[in-house]
Amino acid sequence: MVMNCHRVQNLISAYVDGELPGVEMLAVRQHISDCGDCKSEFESILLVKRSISCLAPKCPSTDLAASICMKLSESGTSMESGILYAVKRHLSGVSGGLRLVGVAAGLLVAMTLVGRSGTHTTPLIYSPTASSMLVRSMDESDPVKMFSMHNGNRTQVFRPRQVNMPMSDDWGVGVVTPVSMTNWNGCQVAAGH
Amino acid sequence: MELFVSMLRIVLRRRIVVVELSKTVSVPYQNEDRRVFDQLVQKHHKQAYNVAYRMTGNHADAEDLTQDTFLKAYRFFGNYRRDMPFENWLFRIMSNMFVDWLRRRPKAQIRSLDEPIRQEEGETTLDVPDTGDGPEALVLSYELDSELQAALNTLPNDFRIAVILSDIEGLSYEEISEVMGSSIGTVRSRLHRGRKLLRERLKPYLE
Repeated sequence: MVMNCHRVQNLISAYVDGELPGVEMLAVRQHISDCGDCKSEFESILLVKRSISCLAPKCPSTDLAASICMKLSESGTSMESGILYAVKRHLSGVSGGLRLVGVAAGLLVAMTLVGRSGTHTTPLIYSPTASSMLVRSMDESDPVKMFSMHNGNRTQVFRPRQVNMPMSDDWGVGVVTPVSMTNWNGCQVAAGH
Repeated sequence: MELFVSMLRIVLRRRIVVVELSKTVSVPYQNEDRRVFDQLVQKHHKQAYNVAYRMTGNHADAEDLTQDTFLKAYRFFGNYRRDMPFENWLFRIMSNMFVDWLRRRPKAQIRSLDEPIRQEEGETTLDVPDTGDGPEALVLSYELDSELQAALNTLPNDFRIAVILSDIEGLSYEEISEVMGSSIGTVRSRLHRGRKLLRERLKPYLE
């Protein structure tokens, strides 16, 4: 392949970047070795490229990473797809009727739920000293989003959807009360369920 | 507020729901993807800042652009399909935000260039490309950082982004075309025209 100066000069940047196919690359190389003008063009473009490449990296202020992470927390931004829980759930089928299940002793109940961005971003926060807890967010796309709180007498199982709704006996909404390990005495199915 | 580990068995109609929390934490919520993302911030923020600086030309705007880019990247992290390196995906977000940023700026605004930012001791490294440098290029870059940046600042944004991605980040034409959403031919053209413009601006220093 033989190239004229006009064509070579259009290919100079790609040649400098090593982005030409082999045949073209060899043709450009051959031309440059024979042609003074094109050789100058090549050398000046190469110098520009190398000058930019050799620029010393600019460093940010030392707390930029921390600042970014803090802004992520403050902004309430959450991911738009994929809701995550700090909870692993295991479901196992139970044949037959109701069953009383003992609860492992020595543990407090706490759960977190992270809501979808834009509407429910405040996580559910459990405080062992609070007398009530507000249910703030749920992910409505998740089919199993129910949890239970034990108030010392019975266990309520429900799927809250809204903030600070009064306790009701159906699956709808509720304000949960915290459980302390010292008064846990097992659980039973809430009435009606 | 603290969360405590709990194992709880709940009778749920005819199902048992076993709820198990992973571990004790002292933050309001625990989020595996967030943890992963924070690690990505740690790993890539300096690199991202450098690119943002070369795009915007000054420290304050570079920090803003970097932060905004990571915020947006976090929001759309679920869309990141791992089909390109994370930093390339980040550059795509940053390039688009940079173009929007340019549009919003008043055209008559003249930004003064910063003094080179203080660099930590022992961190003054020159980014040496694989082709091997002549001493000319090294001297130019070292002594003329401000002038080179000023020349970059005069480039149309598409040319500027292409030059930065190619010559500062070392992306291939194919990668640049993915990041910028343009054909490889367009990438080639932008680079070539961008470099010719830079050469014009830098003529006094090149001779």
